[in-house]
Order: sequence, then C-alpha cells, then structure tokens
Amino acid sequence: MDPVRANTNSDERGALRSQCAADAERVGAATEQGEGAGTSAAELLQLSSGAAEDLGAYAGADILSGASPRRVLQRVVQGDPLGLDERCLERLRHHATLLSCDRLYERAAAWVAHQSRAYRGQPELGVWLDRCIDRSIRSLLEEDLEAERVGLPFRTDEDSAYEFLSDALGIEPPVARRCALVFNHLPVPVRRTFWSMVLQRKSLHRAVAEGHGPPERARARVRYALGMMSTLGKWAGPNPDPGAPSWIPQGHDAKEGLL
Amino acid sequence: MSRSMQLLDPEIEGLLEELSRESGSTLFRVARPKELKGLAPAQEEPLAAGSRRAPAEAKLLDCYREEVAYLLRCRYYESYLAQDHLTAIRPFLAPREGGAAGAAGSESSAVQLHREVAGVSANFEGSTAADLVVQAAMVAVSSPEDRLAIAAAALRLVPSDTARMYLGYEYLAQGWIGAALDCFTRVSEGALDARLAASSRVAAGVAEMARGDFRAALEQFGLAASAECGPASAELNGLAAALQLGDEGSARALVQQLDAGGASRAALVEAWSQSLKVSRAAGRWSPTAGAKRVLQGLHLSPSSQAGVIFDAFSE
Repeated sequence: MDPVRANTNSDERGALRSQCAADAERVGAATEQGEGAGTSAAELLQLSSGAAEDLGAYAGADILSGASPRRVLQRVVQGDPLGLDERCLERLRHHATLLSCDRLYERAAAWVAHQSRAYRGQPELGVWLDRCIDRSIRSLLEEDLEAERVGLPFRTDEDSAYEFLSDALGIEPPVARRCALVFNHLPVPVRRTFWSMVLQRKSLHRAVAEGHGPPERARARVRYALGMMSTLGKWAGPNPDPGAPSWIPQGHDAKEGLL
Repeated sequence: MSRSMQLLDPEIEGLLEELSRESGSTLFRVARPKELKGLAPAQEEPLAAGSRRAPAEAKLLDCYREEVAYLLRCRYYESYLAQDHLTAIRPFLAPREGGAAGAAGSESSAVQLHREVAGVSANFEGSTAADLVVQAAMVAVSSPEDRLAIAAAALRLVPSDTARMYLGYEYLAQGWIGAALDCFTRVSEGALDARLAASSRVAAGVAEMARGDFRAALEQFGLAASAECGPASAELNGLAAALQLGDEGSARALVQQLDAGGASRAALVEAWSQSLKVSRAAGRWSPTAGAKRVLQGLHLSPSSQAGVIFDAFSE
C-alpha cells in the first residue's frame, strides 16, 4: 500500500485527474480568447534569439513548448503524457517524504507549466521534471510549516498522508500535519528506513537487506522517527544519524543555499 | 481498544505501544481504523458559480508568487552581502556554510541572478500584476530602504523561515536589534530544520553582540554549536563573545574545542579572523577591557588556531 495514495483508488484518481484536466481546459480556453492570447515581448525576444529553431528538437517539446504556461498546464494534465503522476510518487519515495501524491501532482504540474518557457531540452527531460517535482515538495513543506506556525486548521481530507498518519498511529487528526512535518524534517536515512519498515511494511530482515543498516541501526531509526512524531519533535532519544541532512539539495534548490 | 489492533508489523506495534505510554505522547489518542486503506475521499461540496478559481489556475498563480518571492530574496541577499559596512553585524558565513554567499557580489552571481529574473519575466504573460512585481524585482537595490522593502515584500509574498531570516538581517543592519532578535527567535523556535535553527541562533548571537549583551550572545552561540548540524562559525563567534565578556573559562574551553577540530578549519578560522579585522578597522567594534584581560591571561600553544583570532583582538 502506498500511504501517499491511501485515500484514492484508481477510479477516484482518474476522476481527480479528469477534474484537473477539465479545470485546465476551461482556463486554457479562456486564455486563448483573452489574457495572454498574444505573443509577449519576452516571447518575441526568445523567438528572435533563435529559440524557435529549438521547438520540437528535444524530448517533451511537443507538450512544453510554444504555448503559454496555462496552455501547457492543460497539455500536462490531459492524460498525463509526461508521466508526472508516477514521477511524483517516485520522488516522494526517493525523499521518503510524507505528502499526498495527488496534492504534489497538482503543484508539480503547475510548476512544470510555469517553468516550461525556460526549458529548452537541458537538462534531460527526466532530470528537469524531477527538479520541478522536488521544488514542489519543498514548496508544499514550507507552506505547511507556515500554516502550522500561524495555527491554520486543515481539513483531514486535505492530504491523504496526514490521514494515514492519524489512522496508523492513532494521532488526533488536527495534530497529523504537525506530526508529518516533524517526520519530513528528520534525517533522510531515518525517513527512508521508516518508509521501508512502516509505510511499505517490509520486515526488518528485508529492510536490512535493502541497505537500511544493520538491524540495530534500522530499529533505532524507526524508534527515533516514532519518538519524534510521538512528542512532536521534542524527543530526547539519540539521533542514530547525527549530522545527516533532512534534505539533499539539487538543481534550483541548491541555488538558495544561503543559510 | 484501538491500540490492540495490529495494523503494522508486530515489532512496530510494540514500539508504538511503548512510546504511547510516555507522558505527552500523541500516539493512540484516537481510535484506529480496522485497516489502513479504503478511506473514502471527501465529497466535493457544491460550489456557487464563480466562488473559486479553477484549481489549475490557482496553482499556477502560486508558482508565480513563489518565483517572485524567490527572486526578491535573491535580490535582497545579494545587495545585503555587497554592503561592506555591514560586515561587523553580518553573521559570518564561511564558504562551506554560505554556499552562494561565498561568491556574493561576484559578477557570475549577478549575471546568474539577472538570467533568472529574465527567465521569470518571460514566464509572465504581458501586463499582469505579477509582471509588475517582477519589474520591481529587477529594480536596483541601493538604499537601506530598498533592502528593507524587498526583504519585507519577500516575507509578505510567501512567508518562510528563509525570508524571515533575511528580514532579521535587515533589521539588524538598520540597528533595530529587538526586531531582528524577534525574527531570529521565531525561526529558532519554530524551525524543524536543525541546520536552519542553528543558523538562526548564530544570527541571534550576532544581534546580542551588536547590543553589547555578550553573555546572551555566548548562550546563543553555545546553543548553535551544540546542535547536531551546528555551523562551525558558532564556535568562532562563541570565542569572540567569551573574549568580549571577559570569560576566561569559556574562552579557554572554546580554544580547546577549536584546536581539537584539527587543521581542517584553518582556512575558515583565517577567513573569520580577517572578517573581524576588517570590521574592527571600520570602527564597528573594539576589544573590551575584559577581552584584553583574557588575552593577557591565556597562553596559547604556538600551534593553536586561536592565535589568528587573538591577533584580531590584539592588533
């Protein structure tokens, strides 16, 4: 089971995608008729600088090039030709981040569309998409952190990952977002082990075989993760991976390593 | 009872059970379902016509806003680092810690930023309000008022701890130490990222130094240094605070810590010492009587890395 997809079966996901595509269709149609229908000065500049020759010369160009971000968004969500859905899930697994895949998909699709005009085939499409998704993950985490900071309530159906946590750990629903945030800021090795043993329900033996450390280390990681979530970040137990980062920056993300 | 359910691996369930008995635990506070899937998605509530934007459009607007906020933060930080006169109150950023900040003011950094601004501008479609914001981001940031406006705008546009830190830096630059401390404290108390929390403590320590509360500064630097991901500059700043405070015991301990770190920090220590000298030459600080006393009392070994720091205090 994928907790990030715990809330939706394939039919429901299809309905969600259709809704998303329908929204984009409506917006796209409006764009064609009105705002943004013309060619902007910046676009002309790009065309005159030779970008036009690049159209169609790189993977994904048929979807990403030659249109406004709104129009591109419509293309991206219509049938998911870029495979963004699977990529979102893969990036969540890679970072072992507890967020709803649906929520991430929506944000990532918009980000891909937003960035499409600057994309000319470099880096390779898959790498570029992953960067867009990673940026979206960071963005959602910051958004949630700020919401927690000011005490904004959230709907329990807002993010299936939160609902999963609430159900799996018996946590009060209003606390689940904070709990997920605590988890999502734990050291990456801790999160990955927890993801494997708790979310994917792999045995300790298998988790160890897959590189999550010797048994004691794997246990210590899960214990640390649960302890931190149980106390909402105030766990006094030892961190099995001191100094390990909670996020490995790359691409766009790395530029803002100012602090 | 919910807690007796075996939703997860028995070993995990055992851990949950154990942790749930601890005081203040959030675990097992509500009944758990019989299984962990099949949860029905929420029904979409009927919406009155025009009562909300299309989700797709809303997400795009979020992207625009985030990009502009990012550019504003870049604009702010570039300008902030370019101000030599801020050296004395600027939290020291070693190359390893500073990343892009290490190349602050360099042409490549400016060119890169310009490209990014141009790239974002290209993503906006004509005369939208957002386009105007991008234009604002491209305006030269020359005065303290400009910097303050941009730091504040970035935080208002997309609240984040990074933006909060930048606003704190600017408050510090403007001499509003209380406001700066408020920003840094909000970050250190609310951040879940240990590195960011430690950085905010270093910044708070610098603010305390700026107002002459060396004891409070030493405490902040100590907290930052004790963090798992604490920046190396925390110890260096701590040594400066201990010296200024005239606290020989703390200074001695920090010298030992510094030397225990080995030669790998030599470049960092040298750079930091240079930073101290520059700001001292600019009249931004001077050694206290307590510092002079400690310097006379502490006898460093010839190989001690603290020697270059002591130079900055004694020259």
